[in-house]
Amino acid sequence: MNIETLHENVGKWLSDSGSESGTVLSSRVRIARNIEKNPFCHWANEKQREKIYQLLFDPVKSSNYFAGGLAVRVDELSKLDRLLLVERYLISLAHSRGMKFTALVVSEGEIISTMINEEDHLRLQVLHSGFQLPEAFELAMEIDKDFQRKIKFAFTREFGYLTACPTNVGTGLRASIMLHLPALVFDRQISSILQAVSKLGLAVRGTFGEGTQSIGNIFQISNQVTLGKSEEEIIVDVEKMVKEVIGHEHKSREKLMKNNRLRLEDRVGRAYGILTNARMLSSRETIELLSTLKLGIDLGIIRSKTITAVKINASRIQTQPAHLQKFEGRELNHLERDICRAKVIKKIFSKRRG
Amino acid sequence: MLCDLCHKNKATVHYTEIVDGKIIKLNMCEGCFKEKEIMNVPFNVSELLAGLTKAGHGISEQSVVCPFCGMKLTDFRKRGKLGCSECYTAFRKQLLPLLKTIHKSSYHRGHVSEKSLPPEEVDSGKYVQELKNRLSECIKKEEYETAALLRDKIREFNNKAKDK
Repeated sequence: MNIETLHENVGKWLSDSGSESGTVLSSRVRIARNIEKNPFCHWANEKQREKIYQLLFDPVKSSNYFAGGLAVRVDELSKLDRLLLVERYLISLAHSRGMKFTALVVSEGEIISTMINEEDHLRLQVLHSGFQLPEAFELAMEIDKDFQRKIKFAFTREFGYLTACPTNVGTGLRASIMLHLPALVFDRQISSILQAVSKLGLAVRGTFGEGTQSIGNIFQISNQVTLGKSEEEIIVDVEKMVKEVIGHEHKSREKLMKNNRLRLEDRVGRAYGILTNARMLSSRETIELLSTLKLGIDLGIIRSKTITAVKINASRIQTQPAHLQKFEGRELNHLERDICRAKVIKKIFSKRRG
Repeated sequence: MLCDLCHKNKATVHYTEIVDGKIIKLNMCEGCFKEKEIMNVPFNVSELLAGLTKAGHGISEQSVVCPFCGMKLTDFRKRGKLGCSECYTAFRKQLLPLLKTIHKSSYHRGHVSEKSLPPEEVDSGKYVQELKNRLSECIKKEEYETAALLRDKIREFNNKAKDK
C-alpha cells in the first residue's frame, strides 16, 4: 500500500457487503490501550512520546495482520495526506494535527488500523462493511491478543485497561455503527428515536464522530459506558439498540413506498439526473443526493448494474476535499473543488462495474 | 477565628464530621490542615477534599499529586484527562465517584488480561481478600450500593475458581 495512490480506491469496508447493508453502512470497534508508567500523550513531552512510538511502532507494524499494509509517521506527512487519512476514517482529527511522533499502521484493504500516540498510546480500530459488529469485535480481540504477546498494557483488576480519559477506562471498547436513516428523517421521527437511544445510555453522533452534525441522513450510534460491563455485554447492547432503530427505519420506508411512491421516484430520478449531469457540485448537495440515490437502490426504484451502492460509497469518500486535491495533484479553491467533484462523480458513475 | 489545633493562625478550613452520632467541628489553619492530611487522621481526608472542591476552595487539591508523573488533582480537573496509569492509584478516591457518574459503576467486569496484570495482582486470592475488606468497610459506612457491586465481584471470582 502506498499513500500516494490511496485516493484512487476505497477501503474494503465500503464494499456494501454484510447484512442490513441498506441501512447499516459500517460496523466499527475501537479499543484503547496504554503502556503502564508512561505519561499519556497530552501529558508527555516530545522525548516521552518518542519512547512510546519506539515501543509500539515496530511490534504493531510487524504483526501479521498488517502485512502488505501501510505504516507511516503521521507527523511526517503533508497536511493534505493527513486530511486524506481523516477522510478515510483511518485517523481522528486530533491525530491529524501533526504532533511529533504520531504514527499510523493500516492493514491492506483498510479494515484494521492502529493509531500510535493519539489520546491513548495505542488505539486499534476494526471497520467492517454492513452490520457485522460481532465479527469486528472478534477480530479486534484477536489482534489485541496478538499485541499482548509483545506488549504489556496498563491494566488492573479494579479498573481494567487504564486510559487517558476516564470515559474509556475498563474495557477501552467503543462499538459504533454508522446508519443511513433517510426514511426516519423524511418521516420526522428521527429526533424522537435518537432521543430515546441517548436516554438508554448510548451515544448518537454525526458522520465524523463527536460534536459533528449529520449530513446525508447518516448517524452513528455507539456505547458510552466502558466500565462495569463486559465487552460482550457492550456489543450486545449496541446491537440490540441498532436492530430496534433499523426496524423503525424499515417501517418508515414501507410507509413511504405505500403513500408517497411517485414523489419518491421523482426525487430519486432527479438525484441521479443532477449527480450525473451537473458541472458543479457542493459537498453538501452531493452527500444529500447520494443519500436519496442510495434509498432508491435499496427500495428497488433503481435497478441498474451501473448504479450501485458500492459506487455511492466510493463517491462519499472520494468527493471529499483532500481526495479531490489528490486527484488533481494540486491545491484547489472552493469553486475548483465543486467543479472537480462533479467530474469525479461523473467518472465513477460512467464506469461499467462496481 | 483562630485555629483549633495551633491556636495561633487564622482558621480557614472548617470541617464537620459525624462520628457515632456526635457532631465534631474543627476549624483549622491551612498549615495544620495539611499536617492532618498527611497523617490521615482522625478524619477521612479525601471526603474532606471532595467537599472542598465542591465549595470551590481548592487549596488542598494542590497537594494531591501523582508521584509518578507529577500530575496534580487540579490539573486533572482542568484537563479531564489523567497523566499516566499511576494516576488511577493516586487519585483513586476522587475517581471513584466520578466513574460512578460516568459509567454507573466503578469496577471492571470485562476480560482480565493475565499478561498485563501488575505483579502484585497476579494472585487473585489476595485481590479477593482485599475486596472482602472493602466490602466490610462499605457495610460499616452504610454504602450499600458499592457494597452490592463488591459482593457481585467477589461472587464472580468465586464462580471462576469453581469453574477451574
